[in-house]
Amino acid sequence: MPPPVCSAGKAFLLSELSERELVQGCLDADRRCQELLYARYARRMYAVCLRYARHELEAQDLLQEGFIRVFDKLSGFRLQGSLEGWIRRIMVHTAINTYRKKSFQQERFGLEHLPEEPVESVALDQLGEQEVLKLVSALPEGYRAVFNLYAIDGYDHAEIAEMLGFGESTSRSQLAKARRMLQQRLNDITLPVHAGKTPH
Amino acid sequence: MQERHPIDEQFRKALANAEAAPPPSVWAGIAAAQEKRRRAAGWRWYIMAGSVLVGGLAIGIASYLGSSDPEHHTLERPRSKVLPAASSEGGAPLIAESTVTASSNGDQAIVTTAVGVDQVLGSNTDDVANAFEHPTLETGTLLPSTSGSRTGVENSIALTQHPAATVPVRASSPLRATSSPATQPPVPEGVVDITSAGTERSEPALMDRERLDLLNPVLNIGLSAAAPHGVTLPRYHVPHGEWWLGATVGTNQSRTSWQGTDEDLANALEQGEGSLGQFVWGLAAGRQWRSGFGISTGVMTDRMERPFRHVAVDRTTTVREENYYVTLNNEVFLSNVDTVVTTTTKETVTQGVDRRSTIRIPLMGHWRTEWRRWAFGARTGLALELTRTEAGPALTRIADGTVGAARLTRAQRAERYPATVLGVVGLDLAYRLHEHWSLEAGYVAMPGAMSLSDRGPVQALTTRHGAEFRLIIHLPTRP
Repeated sequence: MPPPVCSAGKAFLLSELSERELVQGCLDADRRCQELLYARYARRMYAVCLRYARHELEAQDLLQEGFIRVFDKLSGFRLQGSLEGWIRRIMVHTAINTYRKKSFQQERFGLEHLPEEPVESVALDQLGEQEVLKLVSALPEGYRAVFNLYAIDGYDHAEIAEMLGFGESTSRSQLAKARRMLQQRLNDITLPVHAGKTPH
Repeated sequence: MQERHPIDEQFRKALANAEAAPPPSVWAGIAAAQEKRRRAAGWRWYIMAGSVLVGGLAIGIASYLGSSDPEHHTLERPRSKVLPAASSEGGAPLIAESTVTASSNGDQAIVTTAVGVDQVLGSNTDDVANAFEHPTLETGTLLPSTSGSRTGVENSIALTQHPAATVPVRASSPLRATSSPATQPPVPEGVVDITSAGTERSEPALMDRERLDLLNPVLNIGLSAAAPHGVTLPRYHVPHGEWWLGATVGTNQSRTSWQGTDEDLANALEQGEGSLGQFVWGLAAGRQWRSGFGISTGVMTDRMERPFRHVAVDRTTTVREENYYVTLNNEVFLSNVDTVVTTTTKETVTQGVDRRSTIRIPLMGHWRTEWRRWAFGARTGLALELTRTEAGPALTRIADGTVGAARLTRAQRAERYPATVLGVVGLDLAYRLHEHWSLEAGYVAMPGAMSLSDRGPVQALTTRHGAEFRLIIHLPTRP
């Protein structure tokens, strides 16, 4: 089958389309450009959604709602920064908005007794992305949101407090508890590894 | 800068670029939501365009059929220094005729109203001065040995521009731009069917989206990069072109040339009417193809009002000889002959308001080329112009066969303004404000091509040129 050729005689591959062309196409509501944009960024954004969601179904809802917002707000993207970063911010805000709609109650898991030990770098290196994602997803809702925002997405406590609607001190304490919980679970996983057992 | 916690750093490194495959159902949901919004948006544009069309037509029809009640028009008072204009009765257009009459009766001349004595000629200048002051020159005096002659009638026409005839152009509301097209090479039309397996084929074209010039590279892309996992992409329909609706305002200068069997009247009419500025407005609709060519039609209307004032100057010259004899013993001792020439001027003022409204229906072909948001193009075609007149004063053949002013009925005036065909040529410059909105400015010239009727001694053929501004709605094509 001959390669698809445009009227100018040059074949174009999907991968050759620049961000600008993609954005222009989406602004004109061209469905194939939207599909291409989705195909290009869906996998990374789904990972972002998995970090913020409690389970996969919720992550899928976040991804769908986030991309609908991306297409709606694309006219506001000035083509000056990274398109991926812009989409990621929309995904994060979509997740946070969803989180705020829920009635959030402070969750307590007896974290005061968690050990404050350093995490060996080997621990995470030995885990795959999916396992690390599951670790984060398994955090209680409030901790998960704060940890994701602060540790991975780079927001500071003032921004987190404003986004989530509580004080900075709450953000700090939630982050500390999230760290301790992750540390404990990492230890649970890595100990069998060090003992020569296969992690489950 | 605050040092990052080791756990934070570990997780950030592990998850910053993490990827996971979403299920196909996610894209299906996004596509369905987008389709729903697109359909809703499409209906919204159709409703808006329909509202503009209906509103514009209503305004145009109301204007065209507007009241002919002239009471609200202010007429200019005559400026004759001799004869004040008669006032109109019952609100009818004012036609004032002076009561001055002059008659010649054999060797007697009766001047009922002496409007003015322009010159006195005599064979003896000393006596002329005496004769000028002679009491027999008073109005109504019967003079012996007098011969009168009418030296001619002079007509003068004074047409002044009524302030109400000048209407300011209203600018369109600015709109915010959100998208910009770019010029790209043309793309073969057809349906591109994209599937997850990466095949592409063409089928008969169906309409989907119109503004796709900038997407041309996309229309020809290969599919090696593939769609999301497991997603079957729907067919994409390559459009042919787009429909548009526009609201137009502008000004044009019109000049009427007169033709017909009565050349004297046609010349008088042509000299009496200068160039006239008018405010025009209307609606247009058309289709633009991706090749750059397009067609359009619509309706344009304007309404003209201007005061009409005609002053007919009638000069009557009377020549009188007075003989004086001094006799002595039946012999003429002394004789003297005085020749007195008296010119009487009569001014007849006819005035009123000349009102006409026109509707033009153009049929034009367009070509345009685009660069980013800008488009430059030209158009040419024909326009049918229909004129609706109202009763009013105009130059015509009066009772004595000369060209003068009189009040004509609507039917009499309508004969002079038959349906005509105008040629149309123009240049356009357009700016795309938004995906669905454009603002267009252009210069258009419409030379009168032909009159569709030869009834009556004279027919008008109007030539126009001027600027037009158009706000355009590009209609989205329904899936």
